[in-house]
Amino acid sequence: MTNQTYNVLAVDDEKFSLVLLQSCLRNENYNLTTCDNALQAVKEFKTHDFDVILLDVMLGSIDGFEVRKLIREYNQKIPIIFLTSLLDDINSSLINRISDDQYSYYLNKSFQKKQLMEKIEHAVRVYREESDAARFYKQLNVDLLLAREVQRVLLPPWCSLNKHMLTTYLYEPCFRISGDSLDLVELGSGKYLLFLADIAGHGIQSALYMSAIQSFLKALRLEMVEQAWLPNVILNRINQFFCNDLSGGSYMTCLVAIFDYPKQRLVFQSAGHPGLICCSRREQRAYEIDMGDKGGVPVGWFARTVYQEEDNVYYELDPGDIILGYTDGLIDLKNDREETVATPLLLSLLTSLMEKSTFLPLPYLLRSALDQIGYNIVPDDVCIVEVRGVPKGDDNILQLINLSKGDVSRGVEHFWRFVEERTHDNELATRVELLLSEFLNNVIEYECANRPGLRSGILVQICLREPDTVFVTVLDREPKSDQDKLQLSRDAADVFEQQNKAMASSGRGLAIIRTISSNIMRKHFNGLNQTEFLIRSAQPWSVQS
Amino acid sequence: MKAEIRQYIIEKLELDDDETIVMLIDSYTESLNDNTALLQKSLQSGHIAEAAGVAHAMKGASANIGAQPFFEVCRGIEYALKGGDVAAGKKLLGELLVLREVFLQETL
Repeated sequence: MTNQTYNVLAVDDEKFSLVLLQSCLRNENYNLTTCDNALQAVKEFKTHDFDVILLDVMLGSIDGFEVRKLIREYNQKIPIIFLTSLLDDINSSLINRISDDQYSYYLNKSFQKKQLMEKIEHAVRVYREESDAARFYKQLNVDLLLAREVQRVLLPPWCSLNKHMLTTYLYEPCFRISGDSLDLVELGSGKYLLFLADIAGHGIQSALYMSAIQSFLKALRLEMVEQAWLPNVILNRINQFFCNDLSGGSYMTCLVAIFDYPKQRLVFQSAGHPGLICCSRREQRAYEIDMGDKGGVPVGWFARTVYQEEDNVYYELDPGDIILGYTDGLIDLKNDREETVATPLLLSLLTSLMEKSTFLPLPYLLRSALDQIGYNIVPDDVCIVEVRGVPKGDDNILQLINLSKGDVSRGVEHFWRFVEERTHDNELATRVELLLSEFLNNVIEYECANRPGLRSGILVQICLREPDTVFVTVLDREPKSDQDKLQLSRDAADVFEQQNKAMASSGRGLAIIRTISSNIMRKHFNGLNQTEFLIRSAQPWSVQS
Repeated sequence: MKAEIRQYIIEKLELDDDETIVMLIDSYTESLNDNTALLQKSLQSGHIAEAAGVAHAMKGASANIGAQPFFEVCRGIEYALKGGDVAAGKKLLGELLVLREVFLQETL
């Protein structure tokens, strides 16, 4: 018997039974409250905390099962021990009714004190263990959600655009937290480091490893001189950090790639990770970049591993190339027949998708296409990243707009200037500006209200098509669903105000957008929204640079 | 019968102080008297379901304290009344009254 104190509520209309219980449990670790009627019992239960209830099956006009029903409205799991008299009451119907409830027990009224105490302790122990487990899992859930938020914050924005390249990625944890890691680090002089890794496991441990590795990469960037940025050097440093500083029992496959756009060159090395795919516009096909038998073992396997310079793979980039990296979660996607994604299928899909992708992110198009042909069972985390040179041309402009109204104002002004300078059609330029202003502000109000800052953004492309057409394409990410969000309390007045604002701006915006655009098309690709507007001008024009 | 009940309280309920034992037997006696009166009244007025409920409560209290003869006769009354055999119930009530008289005469 333990020294824990139990708060017990005993309910019996036979007062003698209550007196007897009081006598039995006196001088033991029990605080006993007695009630001789159901109404008083429910009232007591609602106002005090109890660990267990001892309940007579027959309580005058109301039976114990009715009382249990009332109690269960307030507490689904508190143990209830039914006390009734001897074998003749143990008929199957009674046992069935008691067993209807997982947390109900039975004790014969001719109990021995030892049996009574053991029954109470057993019931309370199960109840407390379950309550503790429930509390533990609730806290674990909060921790997991927080770890996922940390993981999201550590990821680069879903889309990055600079004067050299456009990078987008799709990151899809199979459970809440992914074991995949991704980082994009600007090294200076037009060089960028792409780090893609698959850490063993999926849980909080993965998120912690990921945050450590990404912090290490950023520290490494400050420490290393530019000439030293070679994939093998970086892998060696990461391996040392992984094996010595993290001293974990884990490991990761990873790929380190350095893009040098001024020199149109790519150098990378794989440490047990899938290689890179090139979607070549020039060759009009997608293919795996040949690594020969180069590459090393996963990071973390051996502290003494040395990643060699001769294992770095060099590749000359063509301006139209789209380079795709991925974790093996992509090829582990399964269909109903348990078939995984074979490489020829992957390459064939990419070949057909790249034809229609002037700037649409292949990771999303690919994932969506695989989903459509039945590869929708996700047994592992999926991460797909693409890097491409910025599409150039006098007739189009591509811009990434951060989720702030100030950025939208500056962006649409820029678009106005682009259209006006090339078409000399002031009215057309104004219509483009107005449409984008309304739509982008709507996206910010509606979809991105909970994702402030620079973690996300809206990618906008304007394409001029002679003699009179402007195509405006907007890509934005869907907000995460409410149920997945980390629940933080908010002021109710604030919530109402935001809803009112959103409703007010939505109606007005939509009317304006419909007036300006003769055709609106919207598509969804696994969390990415593509909205395309067609605007025709009253007068034909020809593009002037 | 009181000696058996005393033995039951000491052995099964692990209560061995005389004060508690006397208090429990007194309390049981009071309950027995009250319920017997209630049972008689219910039967006389034809409230059979209520009478069966009282017999059930008496059966439970008797089981609690190890008063086996009372438990058995109360169980008989409860079953007879629930089965619609009022005559048998009344006959057993007679037995209960006799049993109670004996019990009340006993000293610890």
